Amino acid sequence: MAEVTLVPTRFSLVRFDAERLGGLLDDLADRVGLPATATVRVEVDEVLPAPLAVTLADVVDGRGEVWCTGGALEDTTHAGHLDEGKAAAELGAALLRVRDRLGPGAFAAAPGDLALTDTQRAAWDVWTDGRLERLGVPVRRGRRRYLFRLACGFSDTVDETFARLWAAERLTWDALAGMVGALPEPAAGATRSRPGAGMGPPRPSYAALVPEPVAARHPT
Amino acid sequence: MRRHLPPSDLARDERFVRTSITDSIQDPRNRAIGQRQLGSARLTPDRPAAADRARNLMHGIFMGELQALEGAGRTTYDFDDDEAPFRLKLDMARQCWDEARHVEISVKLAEWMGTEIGEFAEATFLYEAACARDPVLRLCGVNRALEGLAIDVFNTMREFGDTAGDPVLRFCEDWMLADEVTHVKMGSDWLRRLTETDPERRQRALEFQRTVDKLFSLGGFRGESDDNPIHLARRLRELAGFSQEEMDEIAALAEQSRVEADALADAASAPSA
Repeated sequence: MAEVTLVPTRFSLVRFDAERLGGLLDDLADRVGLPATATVRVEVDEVLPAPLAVTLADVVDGRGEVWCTGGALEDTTHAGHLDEGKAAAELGAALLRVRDRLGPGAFAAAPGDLALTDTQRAAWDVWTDGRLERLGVPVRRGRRRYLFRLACGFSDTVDETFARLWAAERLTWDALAGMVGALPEPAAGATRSRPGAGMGPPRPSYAALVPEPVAARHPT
Repeated sequence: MRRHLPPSDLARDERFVRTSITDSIQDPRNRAIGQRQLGSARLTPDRPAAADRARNLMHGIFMGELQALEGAGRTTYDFDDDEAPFRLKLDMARQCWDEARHVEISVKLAEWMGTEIGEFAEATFLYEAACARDPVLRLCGVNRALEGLAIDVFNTMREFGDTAGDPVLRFCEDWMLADEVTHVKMGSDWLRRLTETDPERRQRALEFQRTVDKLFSLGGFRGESDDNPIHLARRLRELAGFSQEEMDEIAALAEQSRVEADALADAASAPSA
């Protein structure tokens, strides 16, 4: 069984039960098929509340490194409380993406989460949610569709790509990046980053929420 | 039928969960968030978690529309004709029709944005402003202060839809925005008429409006800088009958509200002696 470590071991700003969350992580690691030899560190940043839901999932020196905002796991009707269903979907997705990165080559060329564009990340999230749903983890397809449209544009072509990503059984990084790279530019006035667009290396919008010490641990 | 219905008696099914403004002000995370450098708080599509922030805000607007419907409905019934003229009640009945349409638009918009009804907690402070015993206070608190805030929110979200290329969001906001301008104007007209010969009553009503305006600036929620997610829509407020002085006053109240909320957050998270 994969070794998944939760940080912190006790929460002080939110009413999350670390032991329960740890149990959930073990269960998810099993469900998404993390290799038995894998080690993953999962850090929850309890300062950032809902609706700031952001997750990073990378592999550093062969070890899975996950960071997520407390808001990604929080009950949006009871501030500071854990929503186990939402936590299962967010953390399940993070572990599935760690598994993608640990896999034999298909995602070896994928940039770190802080070096993805918003469109690339949105596409990977769609594929991940589609797989989670097939694994029996409840996910919110409507929300995911809106996030994808907001990143990639509001058009039939974008919706067709969403459907293909959702249903895909196997993908490589090149195939996934190619699918969003082939999409037409979003409507005039849209401000999200596109692959290769703008000056300097691409940075996803959520990078602004990631504290410096955390960013230093994740590849850029 | 009962007059003056308290917020606790509003009809809601099991999907809805209540929250209070005190809960959010006393959240122990507030102080720590303030110490992070998160960049602009302005609600635009290129900001972090923009989609979820927009979904959360639009769910709040849905709840606000529902309560505005309930509040305007109460005003048609809570007062005798000598307390509130029949023509005022007719205007409130017309507003009910608008608010009901806004609720329907908001339900469809929520579906479009992937939001479930009841996904976010409901705060009832809009309806609370509609519980005043003087109809003039209701008009100032709801039609001028809260419908005025709705102008700011809808304008911000219409720009959000425009920038994101989201045709549905943009269209919905534009339609609701047009109605809000009418509602604010209705409030201003009735305030003038009902207090023409009673300057003290007018003062009380305007003071109530200031209190509601400050409360709804929610510690920096609305303002005119990058620290404020929602921006004051001066041009549209002008069309609704607000003077430049009134808008300057709202901007100043918003800034004051932010400073006070920071102080409260500091006090709430300071270690006890």
